Amino acid sequence: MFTRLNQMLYPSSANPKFMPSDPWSFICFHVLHTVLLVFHLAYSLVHFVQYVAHRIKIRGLAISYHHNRTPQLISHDVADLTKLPNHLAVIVDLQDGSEEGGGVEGLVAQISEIAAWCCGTGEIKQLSVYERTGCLKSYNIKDVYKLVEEGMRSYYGSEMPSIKIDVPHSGAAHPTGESNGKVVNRKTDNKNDLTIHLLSEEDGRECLVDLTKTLSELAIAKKLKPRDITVDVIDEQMNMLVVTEPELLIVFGPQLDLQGFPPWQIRLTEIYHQPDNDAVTYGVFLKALQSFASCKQNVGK
Amino acid sequence: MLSTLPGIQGFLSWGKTCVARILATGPVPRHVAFVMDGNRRYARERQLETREGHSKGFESLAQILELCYDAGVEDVTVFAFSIENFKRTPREVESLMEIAKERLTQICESGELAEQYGIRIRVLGNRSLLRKDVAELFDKAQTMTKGHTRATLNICFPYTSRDDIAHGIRGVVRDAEKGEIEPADITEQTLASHMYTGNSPPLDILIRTSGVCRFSDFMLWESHQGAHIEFVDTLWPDFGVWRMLAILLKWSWRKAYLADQAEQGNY
Repeated sequence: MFTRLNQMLYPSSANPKFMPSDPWSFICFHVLHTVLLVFHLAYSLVHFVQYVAHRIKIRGLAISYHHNRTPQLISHDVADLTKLPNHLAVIVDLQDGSEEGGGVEGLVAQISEIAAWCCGTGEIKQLSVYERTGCLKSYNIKDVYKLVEEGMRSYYGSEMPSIKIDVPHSGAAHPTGESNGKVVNRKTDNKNDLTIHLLSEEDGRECLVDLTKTLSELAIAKKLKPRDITVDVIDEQMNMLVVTEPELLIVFGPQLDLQGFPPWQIRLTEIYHQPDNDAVTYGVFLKALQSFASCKQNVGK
Repeated sequence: MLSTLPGIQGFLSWGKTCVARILATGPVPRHVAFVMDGNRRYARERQLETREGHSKGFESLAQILELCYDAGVEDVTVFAFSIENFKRTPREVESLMEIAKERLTQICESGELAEQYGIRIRVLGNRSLLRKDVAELFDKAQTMTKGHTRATLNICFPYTSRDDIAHGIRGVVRDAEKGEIEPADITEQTLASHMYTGNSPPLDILIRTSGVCRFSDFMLWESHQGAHIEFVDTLWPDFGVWRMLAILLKWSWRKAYLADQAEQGNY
């Protein structure tokens, strides 16, 4: 009777290791657990108040900063900042496809917006876009390129900056720089204004595991000694296989969760997150750049 | 002012133990990690010696450890010394080493934390970079507390996450070279089990104080997936037990009510 009641009442979310074993500790447990439920209720209220405050702040950001699709306005907004990142990373969420601005289309629209803002700052040369599922990678890169370019055109019209998109995991890139052997415009070849890297979960731990496999095979073939595998060697490989370390990472989701973003690459990356935000907006982008400009980096010191 | 009333300290400490016990009846994080930033700034702002700042920081740590273990946390990992810290002035490196030695002796000898809570001490990091006498003391502390099973305190000294990942990869490659594992069978788990934190449960919460929003090469592999990250504005010596309780409560609340999201891997 006691055992059944005990098992029935024991909360599923609690650690089974702490399940009370005798009637006295059973009573104690449930008295304390009831208090915890009261605490949770109180926290729910606090959480709600915080949520409202955050939403008001986000609303305020949207009102005070607007780009009006004018690059000049963006460069004016960042003119006072003492430093800007060269490489920016963002984590975006794939929204429900049935809603407006959701699905793959919504994702591409977000990427082209962010890309347009990055070009507007004049300093950001690399943009890494992390979307956990990697749904964009199954599309033809040329189509993605076309859609992103189309989106950016609403900002730049005929003065389109040159962009390049690459997908590290598959090795695909567009434009490649040498299409059919004919020399392409120098401007799109080396001096892209912005390179967009599309990243997903497989570029994180999986990539490190794949590297370990390759190194193991080399070691078995006696082409490499384990002690030669240093941080520098791995770093070089990771820079080549995925991307280099971004200086700033903006998390555009409601919670600060890196969702499996490549771990090797976030060593000293400044992380910006606006709590309870659920959209990719210019206000949050700008706030992140402002906070980046004001932070001090001192490695080890 | 309130704290000068007689008996209030005792009441507060009883109160926090109670809250910890209450939290223990719900979902409890198994592994919490700290980057204890702000000791030096704390000292500077109060015109104290740097050493005193570190000392205040240690007091704060002792209290927070007590709280975590009361609430049922199994593993606590602290970033005590980064490999990058060797870049500091020799005098400060020296003084940090001395503090570490002192504290560890204190923990082992007075036995308060270690005995009362049954805490096992593990030192994680690149041992080859340590001075011999410090390394020996660390070994002694580890052996002394080896039998304790209730909870673990991982002290990262000297540590960086990239060094840890490289160490893990080397370990796996050595195994493969010896024929203990086929390269094709290598998985995330193989790699994770070869890292310094391989014996710890997955990381649930990472806390960094003093308003710095980056990892600075700490627990990159452990915290980029599924861990709850808290960047807190307070300096470490000011980061008190009540603040910690609030974070634990928040985690517990999320775990209990946002469970469906957690299953998708992003809560």
